[in-house]
Amino acid sequence: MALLQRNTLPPSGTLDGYIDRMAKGDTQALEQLYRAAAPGVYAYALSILKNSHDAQDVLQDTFLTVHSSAASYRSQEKPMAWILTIAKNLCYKRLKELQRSGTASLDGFALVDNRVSTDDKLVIEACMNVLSDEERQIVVLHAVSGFKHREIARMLSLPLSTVISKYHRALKKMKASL
Amino acid sequence: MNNRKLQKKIRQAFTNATPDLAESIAVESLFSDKKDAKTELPPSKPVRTPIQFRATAALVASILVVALLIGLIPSINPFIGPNAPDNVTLSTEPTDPDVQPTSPTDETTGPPLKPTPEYAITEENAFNIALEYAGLAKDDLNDYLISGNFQLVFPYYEIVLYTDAYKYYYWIDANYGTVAQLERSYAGELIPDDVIYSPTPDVTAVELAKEDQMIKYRDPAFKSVTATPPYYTVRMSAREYHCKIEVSVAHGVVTNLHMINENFFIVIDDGVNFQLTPIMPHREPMIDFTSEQIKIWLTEGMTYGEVKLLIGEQTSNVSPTPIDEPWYVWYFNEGIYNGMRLEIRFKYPGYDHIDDWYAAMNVPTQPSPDDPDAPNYEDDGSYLSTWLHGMKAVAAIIRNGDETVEVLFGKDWYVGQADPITPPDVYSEELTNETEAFNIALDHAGLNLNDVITIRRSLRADSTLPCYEIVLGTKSHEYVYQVSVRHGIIVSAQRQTTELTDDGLLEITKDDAIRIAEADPMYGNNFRLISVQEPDDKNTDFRIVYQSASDAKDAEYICTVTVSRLYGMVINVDYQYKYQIPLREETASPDNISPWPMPADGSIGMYKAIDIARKAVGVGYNQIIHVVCEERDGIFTVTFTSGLQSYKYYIHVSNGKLLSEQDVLPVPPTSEIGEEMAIDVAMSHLGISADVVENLQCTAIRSDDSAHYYEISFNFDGYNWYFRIGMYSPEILEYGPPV
Repeated sequence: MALLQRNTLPPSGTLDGYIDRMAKGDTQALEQLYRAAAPGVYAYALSILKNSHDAQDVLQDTFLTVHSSAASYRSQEKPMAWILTIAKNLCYKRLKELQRSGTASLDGFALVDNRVSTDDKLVIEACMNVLSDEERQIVVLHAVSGFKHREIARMLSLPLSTVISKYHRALKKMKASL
Repeated sequence: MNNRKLQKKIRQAFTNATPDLAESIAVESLFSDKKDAKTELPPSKPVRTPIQFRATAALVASILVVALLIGLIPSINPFIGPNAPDNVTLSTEPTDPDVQPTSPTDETTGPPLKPTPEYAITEENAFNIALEYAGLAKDDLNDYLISGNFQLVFPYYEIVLYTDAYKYYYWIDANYGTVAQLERSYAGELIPDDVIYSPTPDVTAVELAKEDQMIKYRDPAFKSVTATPPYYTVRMSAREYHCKIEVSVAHGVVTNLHMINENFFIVIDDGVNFQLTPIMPHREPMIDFTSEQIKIWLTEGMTYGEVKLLIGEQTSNVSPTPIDEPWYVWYFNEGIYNGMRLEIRFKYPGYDHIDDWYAAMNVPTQPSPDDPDAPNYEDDGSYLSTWLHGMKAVAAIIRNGDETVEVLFGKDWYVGQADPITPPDVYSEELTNETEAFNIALDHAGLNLNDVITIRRSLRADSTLPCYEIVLGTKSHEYVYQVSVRHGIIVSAQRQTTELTDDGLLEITKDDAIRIAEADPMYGNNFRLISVQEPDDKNTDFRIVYQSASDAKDAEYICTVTVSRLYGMVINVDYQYKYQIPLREETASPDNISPWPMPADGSIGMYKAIDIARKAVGVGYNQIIHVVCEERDGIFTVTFTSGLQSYKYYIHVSNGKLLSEQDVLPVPPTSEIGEEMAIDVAMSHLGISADVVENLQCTAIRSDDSAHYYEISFNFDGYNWYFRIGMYSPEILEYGPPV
């Protein structure tokens, strides 16, 4: 018999609640959702795009898309995964645009943002420059977005042991770099 | 700094770096709400077509173009032709009372021109281009019409100019100002008294055509002339335009002129050859033609190889009907459509929707008993030839009646030659199975099987091309390959060093680093050095970027080699396919693949496993957002997302049976196996006893998300080994030399 397994990500009632309120026209909910989820989205976009300007664009587009899709969102207790899926698609779209226009950068990442302290810059740049793409995504999803390793394994379709191993390896690399 | 502190620091850094866009998003969202509302009003000024209508718009546009070219309708414009209304009233007032006329102002004719800030070309620009092409001044016009058709990929202005002598009808690209097509029809009266005698009317027709002011400065090259006295149809090329010029030789007048830009449209040349040229090549890159689908419906009784292309009147009341997922096959109602239809489906890079283009023709293979004079081209030697440039085409021939589907595949295919040609069976050549993908990776890495300690294989597909992911672990390196199912091209390859030699602290120079990089087994002879990033305060390594020339599969790569300054060795190699990964091909749906890419090991193959899983859920292939099929211990685990749902299925590798979780997963033990057993498992795996190893350590790891295992490390045979053994089952989760 076929086994139909649905994701059982942990409940995140708050985000769900914001989306629900947003769908009902609550104008405050978008801002609250942004405050709660933006760091995770931004970090995830940055981890894929490796460019703060593009990541910022994707961040904005993601929340606009979330806002416009809120009415059709069906809560499955994984709102952050839904939001990150939107962000991921927008990132890949942006990457394709960059590749097409030939403006994809081959250089290392450098965070150009005066608002960010030197300490924070160092951490982010280490994350961007030292880690492989997969390691970076795992670190961002775990450390910033708060996903469990098991959830990340499911999201990235990797064995749990690999995720844990890569995560610890990534932290080791970052420590060495910092 | 411990892990938790670093984790907190990372979170804090990203949180602090996140820009505060809440306010602007809120404003933008309000704006978009209003914008959405606006589109519901009658579009009195150009509005972007909603995405769901764009494909249809493109389809309709293409139908019109093709129909126009093959003469099915005399003109796209409803104001001319036999069915044109007698009295056409042109709007001379702004349809939107809020919009005031802007330059060029015109109090008497034409609607006001409106700025269109979304595009580089404004209405005014387009209008001026149209005038310039026709060699007209605004004062020459009796009237004009301008409207916009802003499709996703090809937004254009439709402009109609009326003078005493002609009516001009333009499509002008809203982004580039290129005239995509132009039709000019004679508005004057052909007076019988003006009839001119010509002893060689066809020659005269060509001369008149060449001298036409729209053609003469464009290096016209004669192609053909067809006589239907007193009219002659001359086909010429004029730079990038294909031209069809109708000349009344008797009156010495070019009556109709149609110029169509070869870069924009399906072009029908002389009525028998279809040529699909990439749309707008100046917008690099061209369309991703790896995902188009061509279907040809043959008239009953025709067989492959005997196709005769005939052009007749298109049967009316033809309404294509999409069937259920996954293919959106467009069927015609049987008995109504008696002919041939060429349908092309493709995706534009970067866009998710599918556009449809088709050319449709009636193909009366037998003289009609009702109309013996109806065109019958059966024996005139005409046939359909199709060239699809720079793309992989899929053609499905569906015979009426039994609807047999034959699939052709390849860069160039054609049907209808006098001698039947068997289409090459290139599926088996071009779709790579997992065994082949594995060998491609192994070969590229320069490894033989004995070197490899760990192997992981999976098939992944998201919106881009399906790829096998092959992970190979050796004592000192981990290789991760992505090999495309189509063509077996390596899409990316990374090699990461998992063990550094102890003789570090060399402080090598840039030249040393380049020499080391170029001595690496993964360095290619066809590499060209692009850049070298030297170590600085933040990076301790040299990053050397190469570009490869085309390999045997026409693939080019950007290869970044990271050479450690301190260890003087290559620690990372990263190959990336130079071009964007094509979007997933809907034509690669499991429904249309035959034979399957079957691995040589007797398993059903990952493609088949995915098909079994998706059919169990009842979703179409193109509804799957992301899918991964991984083989482990004789079981395929297929995980896929469709809509907002994720599914996981277990499938037997050999017989394709769906398995339940109970069949697959071991019963979770309730007690820990203990350190002693964990060490035994590790030792047994290497065939040694704990007595012969040094520095043996065993640590119980209980991570925050319930992944519990024993981590065992020791020295043996000159290597530092580590094992991860499940805490509740004696399962080796991971092992190898440590970082």
